[in-house]
Amino acid sequence: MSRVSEGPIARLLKHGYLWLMLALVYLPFYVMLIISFKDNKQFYNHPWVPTFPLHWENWAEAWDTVGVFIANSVFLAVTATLVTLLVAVPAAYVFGRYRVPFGGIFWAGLIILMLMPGVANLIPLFNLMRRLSLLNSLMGLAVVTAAGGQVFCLFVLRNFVEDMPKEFFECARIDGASHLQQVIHVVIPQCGGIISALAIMNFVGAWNSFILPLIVIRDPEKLPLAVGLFRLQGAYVKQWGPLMAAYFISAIPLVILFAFTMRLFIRGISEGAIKG
Amino acid sequence: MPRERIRFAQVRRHWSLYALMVPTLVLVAMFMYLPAISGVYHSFYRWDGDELATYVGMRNYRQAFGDPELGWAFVRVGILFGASLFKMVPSIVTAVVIHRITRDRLRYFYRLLFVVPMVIPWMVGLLIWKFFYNPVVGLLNRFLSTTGILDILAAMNTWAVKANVVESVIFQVGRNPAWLGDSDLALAAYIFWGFPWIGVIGVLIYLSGLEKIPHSVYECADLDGVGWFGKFLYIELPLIATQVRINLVLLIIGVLKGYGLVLVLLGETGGPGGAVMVPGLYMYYNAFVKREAGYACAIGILVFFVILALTYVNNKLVRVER
Amino acid sequence: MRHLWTRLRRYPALLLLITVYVVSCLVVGVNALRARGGAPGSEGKKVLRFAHWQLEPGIRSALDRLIANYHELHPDVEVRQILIPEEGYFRWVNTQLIGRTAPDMIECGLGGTVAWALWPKFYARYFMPLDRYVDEPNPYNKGTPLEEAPWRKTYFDEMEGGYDDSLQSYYRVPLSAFTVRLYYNKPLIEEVWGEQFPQTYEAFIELCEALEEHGRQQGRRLVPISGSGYNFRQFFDAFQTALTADYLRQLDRDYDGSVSRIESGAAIYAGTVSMTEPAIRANFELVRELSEYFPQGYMSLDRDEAVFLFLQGHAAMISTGSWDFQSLHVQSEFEIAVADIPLPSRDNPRYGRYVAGPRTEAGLEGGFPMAITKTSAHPDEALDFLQYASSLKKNEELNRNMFWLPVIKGARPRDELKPFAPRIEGYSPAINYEGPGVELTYGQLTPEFLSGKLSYEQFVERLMDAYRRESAGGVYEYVKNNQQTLTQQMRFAALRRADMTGAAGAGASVTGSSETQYKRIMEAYVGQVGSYNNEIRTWVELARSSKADRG
Repeated sequence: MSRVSEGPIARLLKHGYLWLMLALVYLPFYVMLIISFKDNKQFYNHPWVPTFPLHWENWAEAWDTVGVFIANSVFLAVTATLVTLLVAVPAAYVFGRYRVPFGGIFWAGLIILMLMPGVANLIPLFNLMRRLSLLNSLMGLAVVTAAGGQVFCLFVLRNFVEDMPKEFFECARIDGASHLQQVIHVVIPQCGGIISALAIMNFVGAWNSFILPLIVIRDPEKLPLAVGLFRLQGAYVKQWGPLMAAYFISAIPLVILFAFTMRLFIRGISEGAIKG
Repeated sequence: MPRERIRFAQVRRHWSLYALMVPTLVLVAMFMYLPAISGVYHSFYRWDGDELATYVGMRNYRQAFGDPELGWAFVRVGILFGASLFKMVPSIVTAVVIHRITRDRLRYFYRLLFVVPMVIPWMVGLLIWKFFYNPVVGLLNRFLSTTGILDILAAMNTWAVKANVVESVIFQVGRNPAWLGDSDLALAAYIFWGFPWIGVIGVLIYLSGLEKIPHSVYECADLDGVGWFGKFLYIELPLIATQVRINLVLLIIGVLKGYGLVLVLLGETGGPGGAVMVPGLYMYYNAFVKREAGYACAIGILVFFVILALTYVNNKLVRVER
Repeated sequence: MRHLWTRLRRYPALLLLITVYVVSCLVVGVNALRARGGAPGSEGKKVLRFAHWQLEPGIRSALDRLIANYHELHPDVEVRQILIPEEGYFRWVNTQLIGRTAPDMIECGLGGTVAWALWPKFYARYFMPLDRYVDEPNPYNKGTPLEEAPWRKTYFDEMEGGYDDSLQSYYRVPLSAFTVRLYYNKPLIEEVWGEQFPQTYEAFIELCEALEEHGRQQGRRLVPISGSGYNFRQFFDAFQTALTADYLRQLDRDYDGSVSRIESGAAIYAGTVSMTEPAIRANFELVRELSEYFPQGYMSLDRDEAVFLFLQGHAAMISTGSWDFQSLHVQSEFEIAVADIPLPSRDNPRYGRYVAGPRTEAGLEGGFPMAITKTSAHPDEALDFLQYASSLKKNEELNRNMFWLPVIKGARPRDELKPFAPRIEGYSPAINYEGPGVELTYGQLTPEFLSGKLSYEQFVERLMDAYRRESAGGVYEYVKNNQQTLTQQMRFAALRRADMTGAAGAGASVTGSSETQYKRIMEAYVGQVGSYNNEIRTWVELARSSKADRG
């Protein structure tokens, strides 16, 4: 980091550029916010500036519609993440620590799966879910999302476990730990950082899931957030105020999540970036 | 740590190991392998997605090769890929600029500010842009007409038509362009989405990479009298370039597979005149609307092979650099 | 436990997450229970789902009222509406049917050209035939003049809207009827033109010009006619019928009184009818002329955007159907009046020669058709509900609340809807430009022609290109689809025959007297094979003769 030659012009340019970018990036937020307080007429005549009276009831209306979607998404995302990690961490331990018969084949298959385009699998997957009676159920969605998340998590976690010094495991084994206990007491504490980062990534991925719920869920009250919002904006005769308020409300949970976990996330990302 | 080998004979002793692996295997086998195999199987059938399936051999594949829609879809993917590369620029520039900020606290502050809007759900961002593009009430058109840019564009259009440079009349005085509704504009509008393209993860990854550059390198550069642009070119750019190259495969795969964006912005048929029909969306359309699930599976397999080929090529490139 | 608690307290975020998660689990759990009719307040109730795409404001609440009344009569049943936006509706129905999670009652008919071919296939496979019930009186008509009449005869169209020709069975219960007119902004038109709405096309064009001028004077953009891809079709159809009605005699080769897609497609493909013939050319050019007065890029506008323009006073007129009546009235601040779409008069120098007359609405069929899925858990209750909704009193009441046209004889619509009453005199459509296989290209080329990007010659050239390229495939698809339909019918007939001979288990999927059904199906089958064969023969003949002409 050069501490010399920091002319005022350079500084102006740098900060100016950043603020310009920030303005552009925050524009949608600004727009959402001010439109959410308007009724349709105010919106059409004066879209750019706040207009009075402020229609607070738009927000109540938005919450009525979107609240369910958010609850559904929270359920889906947390459950999917939990299942994904509960299943992937032990498996990563197995693959990272040992070379098991048939492990190689499985691994190659995993990589190939990562490359397959989703839709070729979508209809057969749909049929499978139908036979297992997992359709129209958030729990079913969570399970399938967990299955999908395995690939990436296993990939990353296996590398981490591989890179851990053998001694950790040896010590635990000498102390009489079974495989499961090794996972709990060695792998999880050591890989805490990357596990958290993976948890967040899975959570956000499940939060944003769109195509599968679109196809699978029938009842409007079971829709997760992305599909719910999509349905909302397909309504005939849109009330833009409540719609924008709904968008804004939908953005809040993730922002809260990130506020709490940003440090964790950044650390996880940088560790991940090294591993490449 | 080299992995310890478990021989076939020892399996019984380490049964708990297998127990730990079983859930993953079950999940992946059931929800990923099985549908994939079923997809391959059904690509040889004329299938309606439900119970009616007739064996047709290679007909789906022959149809795919002769299908102009599919060909155009791949062409579009190429265009989109090129555009994605271009869209990486703002992230890189921003990362570099933040990196160059001297005061640490300010850097953290900027980083925080940039992360927050990246965190809104993907769908919300998309729907906001769909709203921007709305020809009647959307803000893009309002902005263009109130600032008079629309009239300038219309004038340019008429000039271009007169000079025989362009054929079509897109911008006319007094008429709102239909960004998502005009077959000439739809693809451009789709690419332009998300301006200024300060990507979700991009800035953070580049930043963390940049931060590992040791102080001494910069000091050397200063001693050698390298200006700020030179520093960029020789120090920062190479590092970012390697990052980009590593992510290239993922980018290609994403562009080839993805269709959620198109579905939301433009609808099931890929917009006016199928202007943004991409392979993924074509598969979706065939499977779920036209009920030609067998054909969709065949297209899927074809796309898979394309991805495979491209990944192989990319791996070769990356290894060469190393 | 306390140990865990103190450890957790250090991570307030985690605590928050856990609380939120628990709450969401409760919400999801309750919803899941309610979906099965087991939650508090609706234990043991039979849950019926009613799916449709009518998102116009007021429809949902009118249906809610009907449902509430029904609940009073039948406390053990709960009916729930599911509204799906139009855009993904067909795909949604598709996936629901495949997944066997389909709602009990589904509105049929939407989805564009692809879906038109597929809906008939659905009926036989997924929906309950209603023949057994349509010949019996509707129990909810007791105490009305229609008490003794068979259910289908209580309909103004004898339930044609619910009848499927290829399967010779009733599958749908229509609930409303729709016609298309021109709505206009009364104060604005009066200001610019006068009290009397133009009766002829020439006067209409003058009105459009006057409106544009008015807009220019006021310094704002005033679009004479608001339109979108959605409602443009009907506009086009009105003129198409008017200008090409005379082709009926020429194209109706099987003399059944109407021109099918195959008949007109074959004619265009073979060149018997050329797209450059004056009447057809006039058709397209007239519509293009009219397109000048639509918003730019209107083919890709949404329904609601077109309506928005009209309601904000930026468009003076809008062509749409009676289904939009309430949504327009509820939201507008000015008085809205309704008129017919004016046709060119005989004196019109360019088009008058070809004008036959307006399109007839004598064959108007009931719309908003609801079908009952075979996989429904409560088909009898679903049927009962639909009978309730199509009883004289309730259908009238429902449609009065929705501001739509009722379908039962003797039901009176709201007075405001008088202009929408079906017009009996007129001509039938005689030509369909979208031959098999060509629909997609036609749909892409037409907007380009109408917006001026293509000249008529270019349009025709590309269309004929598409005909040459795609027709074979399209006809192949058409034939394949018909074959599948016929196969299904055979399956049906077999089932009925099995029932007649007393085979066990066949009775479940059979309704009506099996013998009559069987006879009917076989007759239909023979007739259809005959008519399909005729159509294909027509096609092949024409194709062969045109090839011969071309040498």
